[in-house]
Amino acid sequence: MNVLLLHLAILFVFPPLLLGSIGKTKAFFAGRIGPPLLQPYYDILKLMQKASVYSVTTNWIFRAAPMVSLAAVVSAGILMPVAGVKPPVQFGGDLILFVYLLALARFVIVLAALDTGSSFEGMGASREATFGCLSEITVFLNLTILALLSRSLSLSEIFLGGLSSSWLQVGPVLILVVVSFFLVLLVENSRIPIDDPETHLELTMIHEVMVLDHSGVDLAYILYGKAVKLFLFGTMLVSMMMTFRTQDLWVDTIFFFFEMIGFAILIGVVESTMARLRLNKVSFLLFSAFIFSIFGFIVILVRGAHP
Amino acid sequence: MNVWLDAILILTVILGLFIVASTRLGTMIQILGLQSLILGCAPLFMYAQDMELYIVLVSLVVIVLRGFIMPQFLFWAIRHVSLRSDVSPLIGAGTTLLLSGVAIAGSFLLASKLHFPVKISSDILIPSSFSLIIMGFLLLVGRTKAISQVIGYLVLENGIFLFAILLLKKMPLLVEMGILLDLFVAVLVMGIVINHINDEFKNMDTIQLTTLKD
Amino acid sequence: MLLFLLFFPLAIGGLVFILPGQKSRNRMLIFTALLHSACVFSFWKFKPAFVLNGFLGLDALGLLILSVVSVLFLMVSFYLMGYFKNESDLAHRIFIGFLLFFLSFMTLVTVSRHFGLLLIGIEATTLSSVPLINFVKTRQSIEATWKFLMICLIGIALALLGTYFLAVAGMDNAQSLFLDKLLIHAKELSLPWFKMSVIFLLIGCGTKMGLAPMHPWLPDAHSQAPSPVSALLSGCLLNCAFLSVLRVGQVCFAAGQTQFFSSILILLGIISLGVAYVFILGQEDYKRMFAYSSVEHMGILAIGIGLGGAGIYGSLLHVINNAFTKGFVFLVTGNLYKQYHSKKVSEVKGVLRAYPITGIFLLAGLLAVSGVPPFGTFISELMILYAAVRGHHYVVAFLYCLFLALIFIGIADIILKMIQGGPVHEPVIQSPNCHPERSEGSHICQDSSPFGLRMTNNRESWSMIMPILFLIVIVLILGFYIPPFLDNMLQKASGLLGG
Repeated sequence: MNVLLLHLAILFVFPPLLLGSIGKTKAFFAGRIGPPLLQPYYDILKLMQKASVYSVTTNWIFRAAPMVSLAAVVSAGILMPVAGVKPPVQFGGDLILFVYLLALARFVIVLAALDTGSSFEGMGASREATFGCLSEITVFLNLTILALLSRSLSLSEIFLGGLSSSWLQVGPVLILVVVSFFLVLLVENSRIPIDDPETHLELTMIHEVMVLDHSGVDLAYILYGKAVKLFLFGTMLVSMMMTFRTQDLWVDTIFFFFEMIGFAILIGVVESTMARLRLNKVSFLLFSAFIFSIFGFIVILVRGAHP
Repeated sequence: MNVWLDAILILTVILGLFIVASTRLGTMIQILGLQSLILGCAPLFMYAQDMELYIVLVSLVVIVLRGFIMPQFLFWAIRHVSLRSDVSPLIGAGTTLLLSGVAIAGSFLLASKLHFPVKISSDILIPSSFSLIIMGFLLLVGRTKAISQVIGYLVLENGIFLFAILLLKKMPLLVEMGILLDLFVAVLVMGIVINHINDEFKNMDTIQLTTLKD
Repeated sequence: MLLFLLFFPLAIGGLVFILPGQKSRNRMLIFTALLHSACVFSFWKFKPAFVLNGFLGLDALGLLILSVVSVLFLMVSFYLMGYFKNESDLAHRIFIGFLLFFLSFMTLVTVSRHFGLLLIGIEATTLSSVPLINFVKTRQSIEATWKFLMICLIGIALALLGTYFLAVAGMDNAQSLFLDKLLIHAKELSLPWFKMSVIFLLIGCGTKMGLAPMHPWLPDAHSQAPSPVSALLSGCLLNCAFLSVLRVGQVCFAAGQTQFFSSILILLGIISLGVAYVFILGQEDYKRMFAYSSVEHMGILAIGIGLGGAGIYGSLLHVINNAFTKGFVFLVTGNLYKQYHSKKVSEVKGVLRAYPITGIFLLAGLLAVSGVPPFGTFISELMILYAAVRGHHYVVAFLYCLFLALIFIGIADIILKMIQGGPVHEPVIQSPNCHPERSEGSHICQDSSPFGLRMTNNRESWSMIMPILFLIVIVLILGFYIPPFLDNMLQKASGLLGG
């Protein structure tokens, strides 16, 4: 019971802190002080108290979408082990459910964007869908490689110790997976160099422009959902890289916090040092990520999962 | 050490992918130099148990010749070129990348069918070498600028060298050195001819070399 | 002895770079060529020992090709005396020097007993012939040089890969790339690796040899190079590449894989014949036409070897015939170019009336290249046809005859147009300014006076007639009579290949 509560607590409370850390890192690089670390929390709370404005062209899809997407993302979170803590729900094959839940979240947002009938949202929806196609394959491939290496189809088993010997034996392949996964992470969470979360120009947005019409509580849900999604991807990346586990729960959790903050700083550094790519180069980037994971996959197949 | 050799091989192939996907000449030359450098370390890792002097020598020669001198020379050859980008290749960067992916898969398939007589320390050596060879070919065939074709030829030779590492113990040193030297002279000659092309045609598009046709 | 033969031209080549005066350089060239030929002829009597731990050695096949190379080189060096009149000093030095290097590397190819060394030799010949082809730096010659370099280097890279595969195939047994060791252990070679190596080696060496579809460098290089160089390329270089194919054939025969080897060669040969025919028809440049004829003859050689038995003897005889034929034919084109200053067929007319000697030579060239009796090429081509019919390869025989006939029609059409007609009266060179594309073989245009009335000034000098005559005579003799020592050597050589 204790463990369950810890898991849920981390899952619900921690994610906006990630966004705040990224903001602080970027401010540091820009020589500013920047918004406070807890700013996303304040934003979400503020938005929860505002009323929503709905366009007359929209119908129930538009109203339902933010709730559905948040629910989907949080459900995906329940499947994911964090900080060496077992998730509340786990079964063989839950990694497929995980990916599909995230896809569902994206799907309903896209639908809502199309529902508004505005050309900006439509444009963002089409871009998001295109990149989603390429990135989902890569995510699946990467997870397949990890599943082959740890010989199980359950997320908790993969990330809770299944990979401990893999770095020593198939280190290079794991490096391929990590690089590929990082690229996909940047795409799925709409970070620079794919999408600038702070741009004001709608024509250059991908994710932001889809949610232009949401307001109030809906926007709060979407913002929070974005944070949780980033948190989940970050957890996967970090668990892939840091595979050691001490047996003590609290020590593991502290380590996890530091790793996640490190991850947020990494994202911040990447965002501050790179410029946005032209849109036709983004598919190129995704394609490279795909090729990396294919390469790793082939090596694993040839070698056999038992190196 | 097995893992290090694997890392070198995978890194080599990835760098090859970078070269194939890039259209900027300066980038291609630099990555080629890096790839040759890393490739030069491969013999050291492969024969870590029974190291001999000539293996170290071969590694050193490859690193210096192909990793440093060759890129410098290539940069010299394009010093007068203002447009450092292959703007209209015959096969675009995306397609080449896709074909390279297919090539990598194909070489692994082929290599799994071939049985090598002696045990090799890494089972991805042969497929990596085949992949590099095919990537070199794709560059040779798909690009129009003369220097891109030279880079493709050098990637091809890198792939062949990777295969030759397997035979380092058996083949005499003479032939290895001779081949490296030939390569050096070949690139020298190519560079000189490129200079002539540049002088005469004022750019380096081999797509303009079509006056001799039937 | 062999080492001397190898290093002597290299040394003289280096010397030539510092020697002043064109005359003295030409003399050194001729002296080296004479010495080289003398040594080679001595090898017919006294077989030289294997040197350098068995890296170098001369067997019947090598001796045949070496003799051909040597004689042709000698003739070309005589021809060069009259060919270069006023060259820029540096260009002349480079030319003669690299010509000697070229000779040395071709010798290396013929005496090499190690596959790796063989490849090094071939690559060296490629590299040393680049300055020779690129002698006159025009747009077309640069294009030709680039194509030549790229295609040949890729071919050699593939051949190198094939050599590595061969080494892998022999890893458990032969454990080396020495030809002799490979021949001993041929039956134990690992089959999949061996087959792959044969494919790559054939593609690589076939590229150098000029077999279609790897031939695109050939017409460009042969037509853009100065004529003596074309003669050397066609007569010597292609044959050296053919030698490397023959070495692969030797190993195949010893390994019992002759079927595999033959089928590839016959296929490449037929494709070469077809390609040659297509591109000879309506050809506008006579040097290019002869270059495609080289492709055709290489195809004939490949078919001959592929057929086996008497075909091998015929093929080897054809090597000699073809080398000398192509040699004199390209030297004749050199004469033509000197006289008409154009490579286009349409601008060359009335050769028989204007320059009777060259005209007769050209006619002889037409007959020899097409395999018309009494020239030697007829005998060798007939032998190959006989082998085809004897071995029941009727389709091959039919295609062979068909293509040869068609090619004969094509070449005859072009050359007869050139030979016949009245003497040319209009000015041949328009202005005192030299057009870079037209000044083959001379950097500084020699004539500053209006040229049109001075056609008689370009009478062929003795040095441009005698070599051609000598070569024609040899080919004629071979059409009637094969001297016993030659017959003996040919038998030995074809024995090596299982013929």
